[in-house]
Amino acid sequence: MKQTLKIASILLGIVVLVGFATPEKKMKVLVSRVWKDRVVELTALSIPNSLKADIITMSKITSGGKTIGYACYTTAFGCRVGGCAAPTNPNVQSYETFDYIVVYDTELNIKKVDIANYGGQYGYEICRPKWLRQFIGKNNGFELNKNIDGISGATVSAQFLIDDLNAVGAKLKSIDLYALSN
Amino acid sequence: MKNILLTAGLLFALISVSYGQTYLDSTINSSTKRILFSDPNAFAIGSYGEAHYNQDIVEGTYQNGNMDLHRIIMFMGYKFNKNLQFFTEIEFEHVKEVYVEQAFLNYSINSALNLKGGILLIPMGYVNEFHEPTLFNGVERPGFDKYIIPTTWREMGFGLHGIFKRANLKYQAYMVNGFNSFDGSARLSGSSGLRGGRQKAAKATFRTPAFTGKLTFYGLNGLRLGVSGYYGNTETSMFDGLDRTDNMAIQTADSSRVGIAMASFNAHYSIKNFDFTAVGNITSISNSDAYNEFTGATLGSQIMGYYTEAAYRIPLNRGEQYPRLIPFVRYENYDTHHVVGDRIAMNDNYNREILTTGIGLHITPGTIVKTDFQWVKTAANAKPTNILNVGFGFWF
Repeated sequence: MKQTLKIASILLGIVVLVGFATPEKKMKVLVSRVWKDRVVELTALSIPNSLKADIITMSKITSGGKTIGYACYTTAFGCRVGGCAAPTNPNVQSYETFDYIVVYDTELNIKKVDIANYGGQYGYEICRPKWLRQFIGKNNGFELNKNIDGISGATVSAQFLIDDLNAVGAKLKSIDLYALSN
Repeated sequence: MKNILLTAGLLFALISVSYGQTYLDSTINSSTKRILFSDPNAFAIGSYGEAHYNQDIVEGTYQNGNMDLHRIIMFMGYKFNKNLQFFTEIEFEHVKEVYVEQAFLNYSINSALNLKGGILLIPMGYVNEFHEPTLFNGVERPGFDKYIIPTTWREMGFGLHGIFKRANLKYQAYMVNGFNSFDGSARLSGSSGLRGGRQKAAKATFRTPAFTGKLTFYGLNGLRLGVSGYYGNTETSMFDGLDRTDNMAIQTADSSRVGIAMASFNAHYSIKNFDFTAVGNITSISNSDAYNEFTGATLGSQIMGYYTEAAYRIPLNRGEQYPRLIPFVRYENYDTHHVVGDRIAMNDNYNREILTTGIGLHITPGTIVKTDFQWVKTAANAKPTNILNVGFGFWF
C-alpha cells in the first residue's frame, strides 16, 4: 500500500511538471512525435490580423531547411462553469476554456490535434487521442455527429473544438503563409 | 390496465436500454470568443429543477397522490481569472427547505492538477455527481441513489482532481467531513442506512477526516467506466470535551461511531441510439454491533446495491438530436441489511427490488417531460407496490 502510494505520487509529480511546460515547448514535443524519424525545427511566425483572436502562438515547422508544416497553439471554449450543460445560455463568458495544439502539413491538412491543457471539470473526454485522430487529413468541414463522433458528457467542448478547428483551418487557407514565413 | 402496462414495459425492455447522459448541443458560435478573451472575468447564472407527481396504486383502496415541486436550484459561477473559479448551487427542496448543494473554489494549475475546496459532491456512483434531471431517466432518481449512495451527498472538503491524458483517466481525490452517527440519538438506521448521517456542511461536527476518490476511464468510444471509494469513521457528539485519559468514557463514546468503507463502480456504454448503464456499490460498516447496542439502532454491517438500465433514443426529426423520446427500463436491487451483526435480526423489508419502466420526452437539451411506472417489492413481501410517476425537469 505504502509502495503504491509512493509510486502514484511520483507519477502524479511527473505528469504535473510536464503540464507546466510553455506553449512553445509543448508544440515542439508534439511536432517531434508527428515526424518521429526527422529532426524538426520550429520558427515562430507573427500572427496575421485575421487570426489574432484565435491563435496564441504559431510556428513554421522545418526539417533540413525545408518547410514541412505549421503548428498553432490555441484556446477554445470548454464546458460551462459548473457543468457541461445548457450551451444556449447567451452568457458566453460563463464557459471554461482549454488550450489545444493543431499541426498542419504544407497543404494545411491536419496532421495532429492534441489538447495541451484542459483545466475544466467537465467535458474532458475530448482529450482522448483516438477521438482526436478523426480530424487528421482534412482542413475544415468537421461536423459533430456527422463526420466526427459525438461524445456523451462532452458535447459542448467537442462542439467548440470543432467550431474552432473549422474557423482556424479556413482562415489559414485564406492567407499567404509563404509570404508570412519569409 | 396492469396488463397493458406490463406489455408496454416488456416492449420497452425489448427495444431498449440505458442511459440518458444527454449532454447538450452547442449553439454558441466560436466567433463570440473574442469577448471572452478580452475580459477573463465571467459571471454565470443558471437553474435546474424538477416537479413530480407520485401516485401509489393499491387495488381496492384509495390512495392520495403527491404533487411536489421537488427541487429548484439556482446556480452561480464566477471566473476570477483563467484559472480560478467559484461555483455554488442553492437549492429549494419541496419548496420550503433551503440548502447549499455545492459551493467551492476551483484552482486549475494544469490539466493534471486542479485544487478544489468547499462543499463538494462525494464522487460515489453516478447520479450523485450528475443529478440534473435531464441526465438520468425516470421521474425520481433511482432508489439506489437515495438509500445506498445518499444523493445528493455533499460535505465540506478539499482535494485534487485532473486528467492523465495519455492514460485517458480522470482522477479525483478529496479529504472530506464524514457522516455524523450520533448527536444525542442515532442518526444512522437500518432502513435508510447512512442517509440520516449526512452533515451537508451545516455546522458539521468534525474530528477526523474521511477520504474519497474516483478514477474514470474514458478511453474507448461510447464507454465510460468509473471506480470510486470512500473511507472514514463517522463523527459523534460524544467525543467533544472528553478527557483523553478517561478510558471508560472513551470506550462509551467509541460505541456511538462506526467505521465506513465503501466501494462503487459505474459503467455506461452508448452504441448507436442505445444507452446501457450499470452501477453498483458495497458498503462495509465496522463497529455496528456496539453502535446498535448503545443507540438502539438496527444498522446493518454491510449494505449492498446495484442497478442496470437500458434506454433507447428516438429522435423525432430526421437528422436532429432533439426533440427525442427515450423509453427505458431499469432494475434495481438494494439491501441496507445485506449483512447484520449477531445482536439484531435481519429485516427482509430492507431488501428491496424495484423495476421501473417509462419514457422521457426530451424536447430540447434543457427540457424533459417524464413518466414511468414502478413495481417495488421487498424480500419480506413478494406482492409489489405500484407507483405511477409523472414529472418534468429543466436545466439552463
